[in-house]
Parts: sequence; C-alpha cells; structure tokens
Amino acid sequence: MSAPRDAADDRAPGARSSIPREALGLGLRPPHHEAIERLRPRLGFFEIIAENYLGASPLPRERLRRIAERYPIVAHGVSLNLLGEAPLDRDHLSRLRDLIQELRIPYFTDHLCWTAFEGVTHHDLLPAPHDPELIPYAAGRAFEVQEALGVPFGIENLSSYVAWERDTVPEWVFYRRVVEESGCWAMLDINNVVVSSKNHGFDPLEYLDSVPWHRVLQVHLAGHQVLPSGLRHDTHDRPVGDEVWSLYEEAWRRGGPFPTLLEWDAEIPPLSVALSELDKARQVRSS
Amino acid sequence: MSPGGGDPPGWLRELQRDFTAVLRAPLDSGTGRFEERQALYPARLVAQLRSGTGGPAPAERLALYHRQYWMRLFTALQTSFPRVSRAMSCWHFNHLAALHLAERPPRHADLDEAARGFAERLHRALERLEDAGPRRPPERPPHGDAWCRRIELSRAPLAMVRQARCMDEAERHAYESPFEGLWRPTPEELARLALGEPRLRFAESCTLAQEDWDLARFSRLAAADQDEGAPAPIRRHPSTRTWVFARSATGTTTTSVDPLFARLLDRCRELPFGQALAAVEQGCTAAEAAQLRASLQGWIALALASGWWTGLAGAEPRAQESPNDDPGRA
Repeated sequence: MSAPRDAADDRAPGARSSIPREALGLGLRPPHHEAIERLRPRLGFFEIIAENYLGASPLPRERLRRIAERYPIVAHGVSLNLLGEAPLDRDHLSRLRDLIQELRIPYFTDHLCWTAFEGVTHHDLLPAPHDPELIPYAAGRAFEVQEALGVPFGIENLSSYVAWERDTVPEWVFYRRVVEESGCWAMLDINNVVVSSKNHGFDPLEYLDSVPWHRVLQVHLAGHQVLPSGLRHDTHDRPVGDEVWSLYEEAWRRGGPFPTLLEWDAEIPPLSVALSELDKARQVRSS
Repeated sequence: MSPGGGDPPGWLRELQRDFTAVLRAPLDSGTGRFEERQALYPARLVAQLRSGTGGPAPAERLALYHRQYWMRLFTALQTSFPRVSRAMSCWHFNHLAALHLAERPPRHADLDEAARGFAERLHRALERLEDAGPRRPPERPPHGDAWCRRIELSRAPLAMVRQARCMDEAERHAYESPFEGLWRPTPEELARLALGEPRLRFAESCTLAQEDWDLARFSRLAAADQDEGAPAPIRRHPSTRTWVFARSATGTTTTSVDPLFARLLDRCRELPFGQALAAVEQGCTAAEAAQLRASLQGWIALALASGWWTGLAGAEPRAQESPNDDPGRA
C-alpha cells in the first residue's frame, strides 16, 4: 500500500472547486421535478441518488438531462457495499461511470457501510465494526472506486443504531483513517453525527475534532426522528433539527466553507418548503 | 495502494451472514401487525453487539434494521402496484409482497427492481383461483396455496384484483418504455389511410386497460401520498371504462377513452385501419354509428397528439419529438 495522500496531493485538480465552496444544494427527488423545471430556483447544485438512474426506465434519466442543462449535478450512491465481504460490483461501477461521464458529474459520494451479502441487496446502509483490521480493506476498496469512476470519491459517515464489541477505535478515528489512507474525500453528514452520537453516547464535538476538514468534499443536512425507545432514527422525513443546526454552525466555523446539501427523502414537502430549509443554512452560516 | 484492499477478515463474512439472516427473517403478522421476533435473532450475532449503559437493548436496536428492511420493500412494492395494493388492502398485499421477496430477494441496486416478477406470480395465483372455480364460502377450508389463500382472505373480487394488476402493469410498461415522438402523417400517408390499406403502428408504451372499479385514480407516481390510514372505498362503475396508458415526452399518461374509440383502438392492433373501422361500425347501433362518424376526427387527433401511433406498419418510423407534448391527462 502506498503512503497516504495529503491535502497537497490533489489527484483531481479542481475537484474541490467544481462546485463552489459556498454552494447550497438539494437532493433531487421526483416530486420536485416539475416545480424545478417551472420555477428554476436559485440553487448551487442538485444531488441525485445514482441508483435511481440505473434502472430499466429511461424516463428518470430523460428528466435528469433537462435539469442538468441548468444546474450542476453531483451523484450520491447507496449501494457500493464498501464494507461488504464480496468483491466490488464492477458492472455497477461501470454503469456509475457512464452516468458520471454523460452528465459531467464532478464527484461521487457513498457510505462507509455494507449493503449486500452473497448477491442479495438489502437496500439499507448497514454498520460494520470500527475495527482497525477493516481500515486498509475499506481504504483499498474506496481507492478502487475512485480509480474506476475517474472522479473524486467522497466517503460518507454513517448513522447507526448498533455498536459492536469489535469497535476498538472510535467511529471518528475509523472514518478519518479510511478517508486519509484511501486518498479519497470526506462526505460529512452532520445529521448522521448527531444521530450516532445520541444512539451511542459520544460527544459530537469530539467527532468534529477529528474531521479532516481539508478533505471535506461536501456536507449533508437532514432531519431525523426520535423513536419511543429513545433511539434516533435517520429518516430524512422532516426539517433539520436544532441539534443538527448547532453542529452545522460549529462545523462551518471549523471547516467552512464547504458545499452543503439538504436531503429530504420521505414525507417530501413542496419545493418551497425545502428551499426555506436551505435559507436556514444561510442564516446559520452568517450568525 | 492495492486495489480492493486485499481479502476481508474472516469474521466479517460470518457477521454479515448472521445480520442478513436477521434482516430477511419474515416479520410475524400473528398479532395483526407486522412485528419482529427478537427471541429468534442469532445469539452469536446479538453477543457481538455492545450493550452500553442505558438505552434500548441490543436486540431492540437490531430490530430497527429488521423492520426497516421489510417496510422499505413493502413500500417499494406498493409503489409499483398501487392499484393491487389498494384493491386487496395494504395489509393483505404486504403478505403477498413478503412471499414474493422470500422467493426472489432483491439483487439489483435499483429498489424498483424488487417488484420484478411480482405481477407474473400474482397472475398465476389468480389463474389458479379461477381454475378452482367460484369463491369458497367462509366455512370451507382455506386454499392450500399461500398466494391464493392470501388473495381469498382479502375478500377483494378476483376480477378487481385482475384489473388492478393489468393497470399497474400497463403503467409500469409505459414508465419503462421510450418516448417515440409524435407522428405527423404526410398527405401521402393520410391518403393511404383513407384507402384503409395500412395498419397503424402503435407506440411501444401504449396499452389499453379496462376498468370496472375506480382504480385508475391510483398511480405509482402518486403513491407517496396514499397512506393506509385513509383508504377511500373502491366503487364499481355502472359500466366498463377503458384507459390508455402511454409515454409522453415528459412522463406517463393515463387517458380515459370513449368505449367506441376503445373498440376501434383495439381492432386497429390487428387490422388495417379501414377494416378495423368497418368492424367496429358493424357492431354499432344507429346512434353509436352516428357518434362514431361525429367523433372520429377528434379521436384520431387525440391519438396523434398523445403519441399512441408512431406511423404506418411497414414504413420507417417517422415519429418526431415535440417539446409541447401534454403530459398527465387523466
């Protein structure tokens, strides 16, 4: 394994400038397509769930092409299976690369988790132990993804509900080391930090202490639920909570500017409501 | 850096196998809701979870993933089959979804693909029920086949479930078809049509579906708004309606058509236009024949504007893209 890359070793010049660092973006979801085409809101970029454009129907990609004529598009994945035990799916990577090239997508992001076993896809983002033994494995696979896609690859921290006896390093150490040893980038989800900190009892500021800010490609914001059991559930079905805004403000102070993206995946409100939520991000930054 | 990061540690495979077994274990519906049975979780996996201080127990935390797995897939199948799930109720539909997913676990990154094959299984179950004759009275023992038994338990009329399946499939087909553009016939083509010689070529996306219950109002594109808590009753129409499902430039369309036009469209699938028109006229009453003559030009204009026809059979496809296509006529 080669030596870790550092900030100066930017293998993709312009990677961090292809989306303006101050840009605000929104997760592109079908209920908003019509309003976006009609209203053309002032937004820095949209983020797609890549898997939604790899299916049998040509319609989603046709719609996306029209929006991509007016806005930069970045791609987010949910099925790389970075911590899965099986080899990476080369066909999937190939389809992703085609999508990235067709739409000139400047970077791709996916999660530090596993998503499938023995060919069966779970359609969920599943946690693996924070065991140092997994770090070179995950870093090597992330490196392979970045090489295969030909654009910077941002690794997203996970929200999780279980902790393992094998968790012998803190999540933030595990995450930082995978990002740094892979030569890839960080896709920091602030909501996920809050959810996991509440579920596992750690200090989210300690997490931020460990973030490699010079490698942060993008930041995610979203809402989550508090279940009757007390667990925080990463649902993306409501406005961003106060704890998440507070941590975002702190993150911006420590590592900003960085492109910021709002995810809203269930109980999706009218476009105007989602845009109002992004206005809050502007206010938080300037406060 | 070595691509792939080498081999995974041996324990990872074992952990993921046990976790997968938890996720894929069917939820128990015996209490009238879908619930996990935490006592059945593999002890080896639960022992690897950290208990921590306070908060939910490890098995309860694991159960969150378990429930989420099934609810996400149930929702995906309901979205793909909005009419079947409404016709049967989401409760009974979810049982069929669980049977389908047990037989065919998802293997594609696109969640929508999880529904692939469901329609065929449902179709075969409906055929088996129809072959078995009229509905059993409640006192008779339930059907031995899990699919058939569940359809029977839903008490939905078989004809309604069959129509719901056909409409859901027609919508899916339109969704997965390309838009072939709008055909603007040349004077020569119109002259050939007037002679009644050629057959019309239908757009790949175009499907006719009949409706005796008000099922068309449900749609895969609006499924997110249809929540099980407020089911509107599905009423039977006084007479059969026909819908055309098709692709437009910007989406899918569901268009109600007059019964006479529906007959003509149906005949045009197999016969040259002139013969199809004559066949429909032959079956018309005098009033219907008058209506046919009065409406024919408008119907043809509708079909052309909607992209249902792409040209004449035997000729090169000549449909042209139009940015002014009108989607969402329903």
